[in-house]
Amino acid sequence: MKKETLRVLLFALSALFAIVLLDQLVITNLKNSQVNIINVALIFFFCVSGMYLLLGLGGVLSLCSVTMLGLGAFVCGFLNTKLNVPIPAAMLLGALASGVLALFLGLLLLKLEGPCFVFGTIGVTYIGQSVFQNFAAFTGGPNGTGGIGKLVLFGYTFKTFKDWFPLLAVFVLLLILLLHRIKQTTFGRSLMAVRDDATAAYCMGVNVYRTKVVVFVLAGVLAGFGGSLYAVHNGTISASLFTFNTQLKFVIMLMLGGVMSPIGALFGTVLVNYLPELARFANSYLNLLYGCLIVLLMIFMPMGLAGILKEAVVRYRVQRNKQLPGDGGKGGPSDVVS
Amino acid sequence: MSCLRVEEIGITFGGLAAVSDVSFTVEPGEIMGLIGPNGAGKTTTLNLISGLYEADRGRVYLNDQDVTKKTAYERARLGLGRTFQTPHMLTRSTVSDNMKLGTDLADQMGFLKSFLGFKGHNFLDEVDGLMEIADLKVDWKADISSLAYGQLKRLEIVRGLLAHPKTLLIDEPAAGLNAKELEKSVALMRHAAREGVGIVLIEHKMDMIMNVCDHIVVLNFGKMIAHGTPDEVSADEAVIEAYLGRK
Repeated sequence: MKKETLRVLLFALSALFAIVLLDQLVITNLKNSQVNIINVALIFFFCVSGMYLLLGLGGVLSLCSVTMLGLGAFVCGFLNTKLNVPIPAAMLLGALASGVLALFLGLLLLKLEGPCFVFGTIGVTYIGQSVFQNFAAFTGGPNGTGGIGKLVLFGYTFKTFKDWFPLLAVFVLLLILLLHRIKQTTFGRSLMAVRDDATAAYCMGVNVYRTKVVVFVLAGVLAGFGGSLYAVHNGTISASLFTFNTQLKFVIMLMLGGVMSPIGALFGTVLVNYLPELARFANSYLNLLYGCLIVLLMIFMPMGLAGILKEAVVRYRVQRNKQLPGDGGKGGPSDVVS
Repeated sequence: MSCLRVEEIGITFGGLAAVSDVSFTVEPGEIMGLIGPNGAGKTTTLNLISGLYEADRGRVYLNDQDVTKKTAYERARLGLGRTFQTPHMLTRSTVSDNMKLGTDLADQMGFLKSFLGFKGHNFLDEVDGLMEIADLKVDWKADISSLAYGQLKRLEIVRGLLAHPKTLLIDEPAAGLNAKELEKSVALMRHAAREGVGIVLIEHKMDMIMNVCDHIVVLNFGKMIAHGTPDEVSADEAVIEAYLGRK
């Protein structure tokens, strides 16, 4: 078995073990409201992981992920409550709807470069916000959509937030493994090439526009699935969540944890989501806290917490390599090239 | 069959003809020098060939296939490699990821196959061989940004060769290299030519051009002023005038 495969297997097994421990020792002792916060953070990670693919791997800053999240949630809610579509099918269709919207928007907007694209996506978020609030026949308008059914898998009904935690944690683990794998594929390298040097990417046979559209759709599907999960997990959805404000929080989650690391992004998502709970004593100063966090983040750790960790590893490797004069260090091509 | 044929290619920027009526042919295994004073249109010509610029007129053929209307990535997939004056690498990635980008182009494997772990051609020997010729010993897991400029210049050629090009456009490989590094770059080019790759080489170091190239095209003010063997070109009056400013 290859060293890399073994490492991934070991990581997956340890993570599964950690999930069981967390579930049995921590989650059971938390209040329902606290478990809800953690669950929602895990759900939001689907949206943030799409942003990781877009920004971290592809260098594309999109500020409309929250619209994809909202569309997934409302489509799932609408299909289940109005058309009696079973929950698993409604969830998948919610993700699909977001993917289709992302395809349309990607084809339209990704011809734009830099700030023009970013402003275009901001426009989409405002359009989405307005549609979610005013298109009452579909979203329930200001009242939102309620009475969404419970998820039943293999005869087990997910009733309480505590029931949901292990399922969401396993979903997130699978998602992290998927993101890790994508990075190692031809598509992942094409994305990195687009991010670092579009000219070089072109000359290395990468269709830059198509690569960006594909990752935009992938991010849309992930956010849409997250939205579906949110709808079913909470049983009710309100348009007030899917605003530009929430989108900015997603950006903070990604930047805090580390734009180049899925695990960092997960950490950032949980931390930012749990922050209001941790700083309950200073709730009226929460925006001040977010503001300071962003400023400090950009000055002292632009690559987030994961970036700091990576820097430490690089420093260690450089130190180690100094002990091998005349050689660039350990690790020939056979170690890494498959 | 020629690996590259350029016919009366030209482009105009804001009324100024940056390149006009340039024609030449490169055969497999041949190294062709493209020289001229600064601003002569050498890099613009490479950009026209590689598809980064769209030609106003003329045609480009790769292996006798007309690629004039094809995009840069399509030309790359048809076997046109390229390096730049300043190395264009994936600046936030590892050496390994940078090199794999070359092999990805050679294999042209779809996402699903790649996702499922299908392997492309076995290129470990090829990598080792190229790295040895280039005299490069680098940590493959290191960030590319940790490498020296001279290493990057040679690695870019190695990456270009890993893509198995039929034609390779090399822009100023000697810039910023010391004598030993330059020697290794030349060794890489000669190795590629022996393998049947046609090379177009832009370079200001005349001794290198004269030693390495089979034939040379000279540009001045976007126009081709001479074409021939190194001896013919060095004796050409128009070339001497363009370089030295005298008749």
